[in-house]
Amino acid sequence: MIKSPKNLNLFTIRFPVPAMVSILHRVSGVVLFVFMPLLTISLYWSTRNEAIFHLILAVFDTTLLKIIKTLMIWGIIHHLIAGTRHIMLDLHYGMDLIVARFTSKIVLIISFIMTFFVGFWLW
Amino acid sequence: MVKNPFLNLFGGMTQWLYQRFSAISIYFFIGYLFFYWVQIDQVNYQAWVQFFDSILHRLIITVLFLLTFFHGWIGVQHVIDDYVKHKIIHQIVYLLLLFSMMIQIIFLLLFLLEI
Repeated sequence: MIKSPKNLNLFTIRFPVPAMVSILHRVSGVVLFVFMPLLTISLYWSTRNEAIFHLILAVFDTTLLKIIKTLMIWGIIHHLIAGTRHIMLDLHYGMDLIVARFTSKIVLIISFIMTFFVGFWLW
Repeated sequence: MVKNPFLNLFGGMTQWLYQRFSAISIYFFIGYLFFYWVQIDQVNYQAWVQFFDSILHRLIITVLFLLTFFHGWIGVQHVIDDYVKHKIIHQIVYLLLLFSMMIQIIFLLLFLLEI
């Protein structure tokens, strides 16, 4: 068993911006994983027949589902952009502290702006 | 520390590589679907069914979802191992997520084979 750090209490850890991006990467991943059944099961039923297709559209237009959709869209956008940054870091691009801080701020800003616009279109 | 039988199947380096490769392939799938759907002005039942009429498109979607499960399952296991310290709750969360994934994979296969 690999030894991992003991203190992971989110309330006592200080959060610089790169750490925020990293934890939000995890949060967005979990959000997407948890809401996946919504996508797979509605995908299956939507191709069965037209009545079910329209029922699913109606259900997806309710406020609760709109909130979930917005969350998932934020999740996808953030996960993709922050993931790209992580892969760039793995390839040793942007490793300097100043650059890493700057790119993490860029990731946060872009993901929120994009979510805002998609959310605007969605609601 | 709760032992994790699933993660012990691969070493840390293997997981690390799998995670990166699945991530990069998911980019291409999402990119393809995004550019396909952007070109369509209105999504209605006709367009929806027509898109999934092709076995290639159904296969693309199924592989995308399976890759996502693979990627998500590795990731979510690390999150659970880090934050869920209680042994029994840990196991319950595991089983719930595994069960949900199994059901979804069955739905995906039904979708792929048009049953």
